[in-house]
Amino acid sequence: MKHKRERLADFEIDKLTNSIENVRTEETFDTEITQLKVRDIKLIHKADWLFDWKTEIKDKSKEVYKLSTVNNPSVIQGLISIEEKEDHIFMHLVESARFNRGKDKTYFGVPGNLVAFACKVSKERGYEGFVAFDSKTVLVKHYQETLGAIQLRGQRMYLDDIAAQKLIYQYFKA
Amino acid sequence: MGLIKEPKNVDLTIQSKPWNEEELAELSTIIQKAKKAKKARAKRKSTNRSKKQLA
Repeated sequence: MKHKRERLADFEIDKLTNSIENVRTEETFDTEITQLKVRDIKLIHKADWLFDWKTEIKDKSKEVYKLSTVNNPSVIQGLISIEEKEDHIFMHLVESARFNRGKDKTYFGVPGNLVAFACKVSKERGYEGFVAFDSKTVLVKHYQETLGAIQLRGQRMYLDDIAAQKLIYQYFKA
Repeated sequence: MGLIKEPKNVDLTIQSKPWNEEELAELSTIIQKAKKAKKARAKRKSTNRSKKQLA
């Protein structure tokens, strides 16, 4: 297992191709991630979101990014709020749009895509891909299995350089 | 490798609370160790490559 993890860390990233998959048709759509600034607040409709994203965008210590499909950039599929810490990236919030939640969700892959993006930012800024976040207790095991996240203690979790590299490869390399 | 598909009945939302000093220090120690390990791996790799070239 150790050998496999080390090998994953050697992958080269040469093409940016991330996508999400339509639950019903299994068709995949290329996505793009764009930072939201205060001037973009009008794009956020409070009723569509569980968290207060307008306050998040106004908070200068945080960066908020939206995930949308390349063909339809005005429809926000998911949002992420991150903060650059001393030696890692901290994920404050990750949320899928209302139509991507519940058993009738439209697209698979929105949260994974956003988490992979946080890893990419971490790597690009010299933090080796390290990303810290809190998980709901019931999701700890799921994050360990799907993202390769490591439990620090309780709900505190992080992605190390190897898990991050794997996610970056999965989402940003063809 | 494909996309990570969350189960249909599970919504992966993250809402983190601020970490305390102790938790941040613990993570920093882990990060430092990982950086050292990565450097050591790179050094080993370059040494092995040099040995191969010499052989």
